[in-house]
Amino acid sequence: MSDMTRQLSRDWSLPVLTVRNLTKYYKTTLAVDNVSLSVGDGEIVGLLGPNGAGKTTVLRSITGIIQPTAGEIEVDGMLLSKQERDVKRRLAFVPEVPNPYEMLTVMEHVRFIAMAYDTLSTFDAKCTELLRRFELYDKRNDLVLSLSKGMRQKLAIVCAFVHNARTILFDEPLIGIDPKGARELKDMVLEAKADGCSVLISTHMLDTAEHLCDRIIILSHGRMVAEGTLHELQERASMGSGASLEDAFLTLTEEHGAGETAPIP
Amino acid sequence: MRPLAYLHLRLFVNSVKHTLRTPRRLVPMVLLAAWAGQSVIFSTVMALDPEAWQSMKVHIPAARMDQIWSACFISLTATVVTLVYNSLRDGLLIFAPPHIDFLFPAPIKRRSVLLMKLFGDYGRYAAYVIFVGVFALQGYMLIGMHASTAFYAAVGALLLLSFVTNATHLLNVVTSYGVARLKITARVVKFSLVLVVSLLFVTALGHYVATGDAAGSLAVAAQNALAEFLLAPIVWCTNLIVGSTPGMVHNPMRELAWLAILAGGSLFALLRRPENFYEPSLAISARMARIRAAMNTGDWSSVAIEKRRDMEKARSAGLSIPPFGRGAVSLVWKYMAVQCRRMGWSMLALVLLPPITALAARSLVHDAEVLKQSPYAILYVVWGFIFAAQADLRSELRQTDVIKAIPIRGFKIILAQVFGQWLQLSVFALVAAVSIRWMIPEADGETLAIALVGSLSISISCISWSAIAVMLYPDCRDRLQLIVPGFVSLVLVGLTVLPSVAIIVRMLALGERLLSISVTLVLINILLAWMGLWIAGALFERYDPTAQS
Repeated sequence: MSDMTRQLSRDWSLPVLTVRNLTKYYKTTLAVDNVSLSVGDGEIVGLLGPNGAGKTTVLRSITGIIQPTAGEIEVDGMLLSKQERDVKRRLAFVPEVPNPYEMLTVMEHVRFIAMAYDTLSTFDAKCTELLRRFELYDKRNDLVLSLSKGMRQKLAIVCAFVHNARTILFDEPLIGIDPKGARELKDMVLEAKADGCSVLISTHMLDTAEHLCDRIIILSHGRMVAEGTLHELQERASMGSGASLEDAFLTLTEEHGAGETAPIP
Repeated sequence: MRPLAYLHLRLFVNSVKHTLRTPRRLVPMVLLAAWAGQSVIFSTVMALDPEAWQSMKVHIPAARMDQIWSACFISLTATVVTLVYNSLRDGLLIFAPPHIDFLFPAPIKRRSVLLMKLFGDYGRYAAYVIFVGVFALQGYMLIGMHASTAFYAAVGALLLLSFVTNATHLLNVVTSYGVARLKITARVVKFSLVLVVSLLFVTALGHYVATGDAAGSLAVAAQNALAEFLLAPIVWCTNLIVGSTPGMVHNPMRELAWLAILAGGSLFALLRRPENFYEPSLAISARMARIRAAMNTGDWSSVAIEKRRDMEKARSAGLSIPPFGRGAVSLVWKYMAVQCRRMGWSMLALVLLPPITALAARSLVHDAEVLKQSPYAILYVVWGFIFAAQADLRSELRQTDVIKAIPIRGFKIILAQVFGQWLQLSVFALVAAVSIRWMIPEADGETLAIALVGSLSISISCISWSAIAVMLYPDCRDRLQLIVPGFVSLVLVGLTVLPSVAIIVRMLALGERLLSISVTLVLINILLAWMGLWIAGALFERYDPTAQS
């Protein structure tokens, strides 16, 4: 399918990723309470919420790292609970503080990810391009051990883009990255969107979410408190169109702040 | 499995290359290899020269073999019990953080990831078995063991450890998503283990109290129907290890076959389980990663803090000491407050241990000469404290950014640290001395006084000089790197002890009075401590926390 055809055929109402009634208890603590969300084809969705809102739990549930207490996760029409490996093949995940294999070189690390996702055929060209964009090419033969925190974050981003995932999940991707790296990441996300890739980003950086995301989902105390475009959120928060996402976010999360997470009776 | 094979091959090759390029890792590796190599060379030379071998052969009487069997059985039982107990407390499905971040979300079969983890465990056990085997080789050859039976022993040990690991993994996986189920299962298994071990201990103790025969008591505990029935796999493994020597009749193939069935069966059962073990292993893996990182740097204080972190009581401040002092003295307060909080009520155990040990010695030891010399035990125990003190100083160096910013001279900072550690040690030594005096009337009073003064004065100089070893190698990033500073510390402490030992021996031989011996000991060690502190303080002043090791 050509880029133009992809652009034309894209329809956000056809979700690539669907989360239905996701609930997660950690022992007796309710971390996520009946959350449903979807990310359309070529759509960038921001997942916002205060600390402990359940953003990471949602992302980890989607990647199959943690098992939902209740609910379903569907990617490209496949259920995670039934076709786990096929679903995982279509996903890429960048954790908040990545811990790459320190005893691999940068190139070996990316190659291992390409092998794990069975995309070695496109590896060479793609890897070189990504390493150059994130200024890791000169370090390709260095051990990860020698990389700084920001460089490790960039490596995790490179690993996410190397295997042509259909949906990319980012957990606070901009923390610890220098301004040039941050700009590069934003450009990459927009390019991925243009290629029909769906993106779900959990972030605290509201201005980034405001400019990058097509739609915003706000979580608070494990519950989804609002969802929509910036304009829809402004309306929901009873604010004018001049209000920023930060204003809308603070109003909406404070409205729901009183509802504490309930333990299992 | 191909990506996992690639991953582990590259990790191994790069680790070897990294070790070869890092002198601090290479030197201990060479020392270990040389140590193991000499054992292999000795065994090979003996094997190539049958005459020399025959002339060196040692005949072990059947009664002694019986004791060796019992000791081996008890060691294996302790290892197995520890493995099971730790598994049920912490969970053995521990993955490294990179596995969690990059393997768990990848489209790789969970069974493959589990197999990789198990192969890692088996590999570690194989390394232990080979390591112990290399050093046991000389002893085995001296008692006329054949190579094939040594092989059976090694395979038997490996199969036993694999079975225990598989079984405990299985228990953890089965109970992954049932908190109540896990608690009940863990309690039942733990209780059964404690019951069996207690029964064996009580049997041995009863026999010893009745007969006073330590070796016989060991045999009674190990060789009874209860132990042979409930701990059958351990009995088979012990037969393979000890029975491989001449004079013991057993069927190694039958025992190996049973152990192989258990190991293979438990592995099969584990791999058949459908549970998603990723989530249950997340929290424990993250916690263990923090603990391992602290252990690798020799920072035992952080290890204790990490172990305490998840406990309910960690949320409260616990024991506290009111603040006192200014300048360097405030550092002593900080050290004591941290120690108090870190150790909590286990400090009480430290105080109760000496009287309990003294009471046990009084009841169980019937040899008057041994009881007379018992005060020297204080010196041995204090020796252990000296090496623990290094770990405290390493913990302190983790906060160098804060401490170096305080306007206090390096000498005083090290002095405050050493004094805090010495104070803790002194309390223990004093309690031990009082306990011995009170509970063991046979203990020689003069020996007790010399042991107490000796331990208090020698320890201050030893701790000061061991601080030099820490300051010479402040940035240790893994356990291999800790070997060289440990060795340097051993040499420095040994050199520090020498003058005191020489003085005690010489003055006792000359019939000097207790008071003059004590005064000399104190003066010499204060001088040595001052020198050690001065050097360690100067090294601290020069220490750059931003430098890479």
